Amino acid sequence: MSGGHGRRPLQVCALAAALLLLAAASCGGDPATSRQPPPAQSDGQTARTNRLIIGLQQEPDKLNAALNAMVYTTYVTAPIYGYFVTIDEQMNLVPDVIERIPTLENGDISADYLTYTYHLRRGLRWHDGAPFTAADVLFSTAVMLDPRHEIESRSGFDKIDTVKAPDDYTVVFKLKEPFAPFVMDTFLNEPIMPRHLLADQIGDDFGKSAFHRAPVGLGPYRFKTWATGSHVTLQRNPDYFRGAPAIEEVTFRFIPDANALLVALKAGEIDGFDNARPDHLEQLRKLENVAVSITPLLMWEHLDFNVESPLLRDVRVRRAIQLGIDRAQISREIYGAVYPVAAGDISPRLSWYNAAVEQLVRYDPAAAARLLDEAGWKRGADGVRTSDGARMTVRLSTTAGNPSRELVEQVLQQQLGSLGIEIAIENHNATALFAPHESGGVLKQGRFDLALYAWVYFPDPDRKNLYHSTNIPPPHGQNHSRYASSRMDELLDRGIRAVAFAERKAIYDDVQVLVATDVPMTPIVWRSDIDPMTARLEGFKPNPTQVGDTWNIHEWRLRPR
Amino acid sequence: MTAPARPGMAATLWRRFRRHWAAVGGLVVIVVLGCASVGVSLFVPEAETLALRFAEKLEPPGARHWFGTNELGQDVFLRCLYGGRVSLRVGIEATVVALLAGVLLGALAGAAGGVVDGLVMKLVDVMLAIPIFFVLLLLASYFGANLHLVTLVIGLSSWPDVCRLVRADFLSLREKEFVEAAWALGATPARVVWRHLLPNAASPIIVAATLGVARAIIVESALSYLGFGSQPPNASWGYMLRNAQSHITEYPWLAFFPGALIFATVLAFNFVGDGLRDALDPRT
Amino acid sequence: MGAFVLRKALGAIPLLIAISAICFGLVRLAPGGPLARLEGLPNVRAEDIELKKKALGLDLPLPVQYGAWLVRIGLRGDLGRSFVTGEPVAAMIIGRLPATLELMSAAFLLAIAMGMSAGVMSAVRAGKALDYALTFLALVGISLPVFWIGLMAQVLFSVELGWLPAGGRAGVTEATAASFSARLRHLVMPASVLSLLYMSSWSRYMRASLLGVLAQDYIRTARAKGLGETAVVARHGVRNALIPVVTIVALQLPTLFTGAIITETIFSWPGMGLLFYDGVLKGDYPRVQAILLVSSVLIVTFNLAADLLYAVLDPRIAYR
Repeated sequence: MSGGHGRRPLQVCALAAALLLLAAASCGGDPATSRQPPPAQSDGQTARTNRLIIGLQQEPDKLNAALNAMVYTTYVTAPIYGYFVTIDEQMNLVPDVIERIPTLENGDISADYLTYTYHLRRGLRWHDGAPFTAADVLFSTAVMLDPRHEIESRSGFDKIDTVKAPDDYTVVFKLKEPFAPFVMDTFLNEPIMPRHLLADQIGDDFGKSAFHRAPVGLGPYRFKTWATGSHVTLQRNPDYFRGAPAIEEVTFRFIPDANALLVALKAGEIDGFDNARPDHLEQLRKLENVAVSITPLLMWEHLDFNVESPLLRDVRVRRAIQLGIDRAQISREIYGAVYPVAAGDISPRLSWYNAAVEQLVRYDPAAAARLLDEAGWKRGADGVRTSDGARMTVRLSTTAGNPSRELVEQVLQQQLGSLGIEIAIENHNATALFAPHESGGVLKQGRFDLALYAWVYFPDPDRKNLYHSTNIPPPHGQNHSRYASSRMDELLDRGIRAVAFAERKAIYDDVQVLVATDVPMTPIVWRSDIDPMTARLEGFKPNPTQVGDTWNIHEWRLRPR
Repeated sequence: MTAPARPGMAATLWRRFRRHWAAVGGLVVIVVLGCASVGVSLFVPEAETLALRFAEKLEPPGARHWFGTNELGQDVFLRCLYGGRVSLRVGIEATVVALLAGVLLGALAGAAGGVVDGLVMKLVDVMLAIPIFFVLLLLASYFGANLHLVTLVIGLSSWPDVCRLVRADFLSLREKEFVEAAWALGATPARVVWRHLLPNAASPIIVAATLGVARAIIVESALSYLGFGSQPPNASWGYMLRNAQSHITEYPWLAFFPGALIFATVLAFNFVGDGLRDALDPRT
Repeated sequence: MGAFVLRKALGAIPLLIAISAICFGLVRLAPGGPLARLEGLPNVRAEDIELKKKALGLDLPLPVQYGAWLVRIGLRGDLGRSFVTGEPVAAMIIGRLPATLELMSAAFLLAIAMGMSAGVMSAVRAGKALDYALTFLALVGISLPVFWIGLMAQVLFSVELGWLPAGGRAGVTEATAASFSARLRHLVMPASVLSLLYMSSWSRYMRASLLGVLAQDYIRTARAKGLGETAVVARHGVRNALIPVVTIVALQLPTLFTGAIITETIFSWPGMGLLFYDGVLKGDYPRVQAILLVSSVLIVTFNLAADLLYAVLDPRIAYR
């Protein structure tokens, strides 16, 4: 090799490296400058005056929520289908293709809580022009009940004894036993499917039908195109029974990376997106022409306690951990105060909420320390508590790769560390954490002490899946804490059968207190849906439940530029 | 042409290496970063760098915090030094694993040829066809996101590249006159490999090794992006870089310093590699 | 030579069967699966999970499932249907091929053109300013994670400058078919970001390899014969230096098919990488197994091609 190494190449390179990195790191520009999306670009965006493009981080597998019960599926499909009921932004039940909500008062629910009558709206037409009748409802119910179909949840449908249609616009369900969440939960997000298009698809291959990729419904928008991996476009239905919607076309673009979603909004390629991360809020608020709405969800971040773990078997230790968590600090410092502090698993916005839990689930490190002392855990030389030679080192697991949860873990490590509880972080990839029992699921197999993740529920207070001893895995069930209490079982069993509000309320008041006392789980914060949307959009009312923010898309309007 | 290995090689190597300024500079950078990462615990214990100081969070770089502070109020300079432990270790260990396996099997295949070559290459083909992703998923589910495992797997995932390089060189070298001459002079196979083949195949191996360190550091960060890799609170540089993504426009220092350190390390390893290659090259 | 190719191809069959078994095992033993999502949903009854398990055929013993899968592919060429979307897997793969080939071939051509010429220039001007500048640029490409470079490029070119679309393939916002220029504008950023990685490492390998070759005796001989430097480098140097580099390139070519997971994620490019990763996350066994199998067939084919290329480039290697 020829010579010539003596020209201070290192210095040159180091200088160049510094310059380049500086340029790269600062290309974000002055953080204080607010940005306005650049003017519409030439390649086709000119036609966007009455079209809306919404970014979603995930893509539905099928455009039918009965076969793909996910929030992002409902987001796209709610505008296409008709439903019995939906839930508005105040969490009230709203009738959709039915005349009214069945209640005891209007006689549509029988006094023994076993017969439910639904009156269908008249004159509705499917997107292809065929008339909608009770036959479609009977058909949809049969689809749900057929064991050959890959239906995701038959919860509630399994309580149906018979279903009959006395005429074309009336449907009567007879139940095997009283089931309190029937009106609210059973039909929520379960679309009504057209008999005339699907009757010959019944059977083993129902889930593979092309219908679920190009559905026909009763809703305000008709399906137009689906380019998999890219976007779904819907076109307004001029014959919609509540009147034609104002916005001509709505496109849902799938952008799997959270930062790329933000970039796409800043670049003006999308008009808004669903479920922004709290750490992006600061940047979102600086965007001109973008309105950010924050909606607390029925979704709570919590710690599951594995009550079979030798360290957590003693309820006093679990209570001490519950009292040792400063939820306000987590809410404020990690979630910028947009995720409110949670004291229970029932939202304070619901009439089921029992405020008595706030006293039990408070931040009180002194009381926590007393409980640990009582339980025989004394501080050692290094500050960590021990008892009979056992060291209070508790494993904490969450979904690895989730930045906010990893920050919360470090705060918990600090907060509980000051009580003498050493936290060893042992995270798992989300897939591994939630996997079924037989394929290595950490939660299902109970290979954790504390697990940090979120649950999402409908407004109904039933929590049988979470706390009933029959729902301890294996094989299935979501009682990952392995919590077994005969009192809890008895309350939950009664709660699902009691239909009258006052009776149910009393039962779930007790359930909430019992959770806060036995501590199979301690809540941390309520998650909020952060929705940045173009300020031109009117009528956008984000929904706190799983019906999705497009529930009232027929009322949306785009102000002209 | 003769093989370069002879007694007193180390001194010769060092003399030649010293001529390469960039390489010496690279070595200095590596040594300084290594010492600082290891030595930092003598001055500031790790627990202190992990303490949460929300009152000081997200401060820009200044006199009090040279590299600023992060969203938990931790000093980024100290976190970078502790992060160096993780990153450098993953980078170097993974490369050592890859080199050991790759050179050994590549040399075996290239020198022996025939059936042995066929078998080794079949193994390489199988390895390359297996996505490392699944191996990690499988291991991570049973052992949690364990850094040692991740290091081992990154190393084991890169040996086929090294193996194929070494083999390709050997295949071409063993037909050369000087190797045939060595055989004719009655050299043993081990001697032919060690004295004649390996030194002449050294350049691509060294390049692979220096690129390997960089690759391992980056792969580790990509893996922590997907939920494997390093775990809090023991953040590697790549992990810090990944977390800084969402704040790129507001708090650029969170990304700048770990990014600059990765870059400096990669640059340093490459210059050292260049220097080593030139020093080993018998013709300069 | 025909016999040589035939022998190699036949030899690959047991290898492919072994690979298929390993892939099947890894996919099936990895945690997750198509039922994982249901386990985490409220209101999903254990009975519904069991019904779905049966409907998907997951209640059969693993070896039986493997056998059925292999037989179906081997005898009928049927890759099966996706567990989550219900579509034929072959159709899903074909649907993503245009986007994948567009992105990957653009990235590869860019990388080969730039990487090789940078490597040659670096080697010829070894130790000079140009060498250091190119080395420096190559290392930038290697030392920053793709997710980071991608984000930087988006912020710079889409948000700050507004020159290029931040993501997606042309056709998202257009009412009519995308024009060529729109396609190109969508392609520029992901292809460049993706190529950077290959470009950087190939230029380093090319430089090292060419430097090694240029110091050989026969190059000295060629120079002594009075051949011009350009001719020496081009005719004798580059040709010989290509041998180890071809190995690396051939090794990475099959990724043309499997796509680039992170690049496609950042630029929401509807290619094979996203299809594969989405399948992994959702435990879509037929999809993941099919993509793995097809890609391993490609890997084996490309290895064979690389072996043949050696033979062409280096006449001293005989067809054994």
